[in-house]
Amino acid sequence: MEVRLTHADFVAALENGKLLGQQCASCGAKNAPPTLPCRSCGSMELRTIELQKRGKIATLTGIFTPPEGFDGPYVVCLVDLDEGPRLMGRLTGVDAATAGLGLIGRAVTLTHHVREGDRFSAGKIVGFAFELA
Amino acid sequence: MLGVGMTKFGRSTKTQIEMFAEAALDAILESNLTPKDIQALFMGAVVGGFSEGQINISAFAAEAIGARNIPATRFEGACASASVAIRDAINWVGSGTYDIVIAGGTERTLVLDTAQATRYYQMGSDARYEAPSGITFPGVFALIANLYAHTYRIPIETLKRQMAMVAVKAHRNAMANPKAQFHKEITVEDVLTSVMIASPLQLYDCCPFTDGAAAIVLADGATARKLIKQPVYVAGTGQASAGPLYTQPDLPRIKARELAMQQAYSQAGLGPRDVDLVELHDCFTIAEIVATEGMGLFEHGQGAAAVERGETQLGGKIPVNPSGGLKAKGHPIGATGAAQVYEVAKQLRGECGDRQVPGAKVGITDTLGGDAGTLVDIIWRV
Repeated sequence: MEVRLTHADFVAALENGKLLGQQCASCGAKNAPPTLPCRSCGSMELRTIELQKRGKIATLTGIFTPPEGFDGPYVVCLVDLDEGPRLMGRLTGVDAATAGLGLIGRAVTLTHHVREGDRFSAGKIVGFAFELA
Repeated sequence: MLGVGMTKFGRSTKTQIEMFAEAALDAILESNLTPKDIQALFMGAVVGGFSEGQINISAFAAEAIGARNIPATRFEGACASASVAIRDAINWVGSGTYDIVIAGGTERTLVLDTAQATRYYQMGSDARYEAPSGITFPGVFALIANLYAHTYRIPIETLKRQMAMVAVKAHRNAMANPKAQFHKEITVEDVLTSVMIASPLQLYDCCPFTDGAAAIVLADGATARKLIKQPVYVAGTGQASAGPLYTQPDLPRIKARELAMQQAYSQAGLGPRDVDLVELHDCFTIAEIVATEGMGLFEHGQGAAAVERGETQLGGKIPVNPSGGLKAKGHPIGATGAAQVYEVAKQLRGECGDRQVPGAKVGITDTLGGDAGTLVDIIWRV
């Protein structure tokens, strides 16, 4: 059995401004990031689709001690997309010192960021980024 | 469980293998055995490839302790590695394949600088879809802390004070633990004025980087009783996994822990009321609070208030981390599970001095790895 939507293809689409997802033929759930079985029901009957890039902040944190290769401080968040899946990404345009509970539930739109990889990243680093809507 | 051994946690100039050998030989000698009696080795070790350029460490560890040519295996489940090793060892002995084995772990992180170590610990998150955000290990639990405050409608200032009390307790307990990394009491104000790491977690909400090793000898009951006065018995074990944070809809609840704990309680025929003490995974203060709830010691959303009421202190309703926990005892990630077991063994044998939980008969070790992705819970009893 072959992985249908690879990380490489997902990331290439993201760099072109598309958020790909996989819709389950069994239960209808939309999955993202890529998966083999549907995360809701386990079916392998998944069809690649394009997702909308809107969601709400589920939780967040201001990072003041970044890993090697990152310049802090910055804000990381978990976002619940309107269509269901949850993603982790960088929240841009928000001061890390003010990233608190007041932002939970706020609407965001998804974009992406690209950075040079390091010795451990198997290539360049492409990640989700969110802006307050 | 027979003998146990543990290095003093903190900064070491010894190698991972040297530290493991010291802990292992202490455990073997305490068991009235020699290395030649050990039939298999199971160990946790996580970032040693980066900190010392060493992989395949289990083979070298077996040779280092004089257990020539025995089967030796390294386990990696981030911070749960040693507990995964121990649970596996338990099953090999329980199945009758081996009679006498050694299990534990080692880690050396203080040769790394903070940014490097943070990068390596970040590898416990999803490298493809989480690491690119710049998430860090404290960041994972910071996300959980904010979600906990939001979910249970606790003002963040209140939760931060309750979290700080966890750190204060840890440091107080560690004063009576000669193996602990820190022997310094702190106050709630110390925690709240320390530098911000990943909001809302401040420096003293976070466990340190640590060097250290710990090991235990396991044998079947009949063999154990011939060798030592007071074996400690495995009452039940449990293990579960979970995917990246974004695949865990139950947050701030940690489903993998609830599953692992339920397996262990079931196997043991015991429940939360039967437990005298726990050594649980307080990598961050919020992690301790969430752990007590996932282990069934308090209702979900009530764990923070329980800390404030003093229920988890020595002498409280359910002593949590009498050793000082990961926070004050230290957290060499490949070894931590074995150090938790070391504490439970000492407690159940009445050897803990000023941090003794009186009359302790049942103790739980609870160890978590990565994005709450690997969870092991083991119930021990005498």
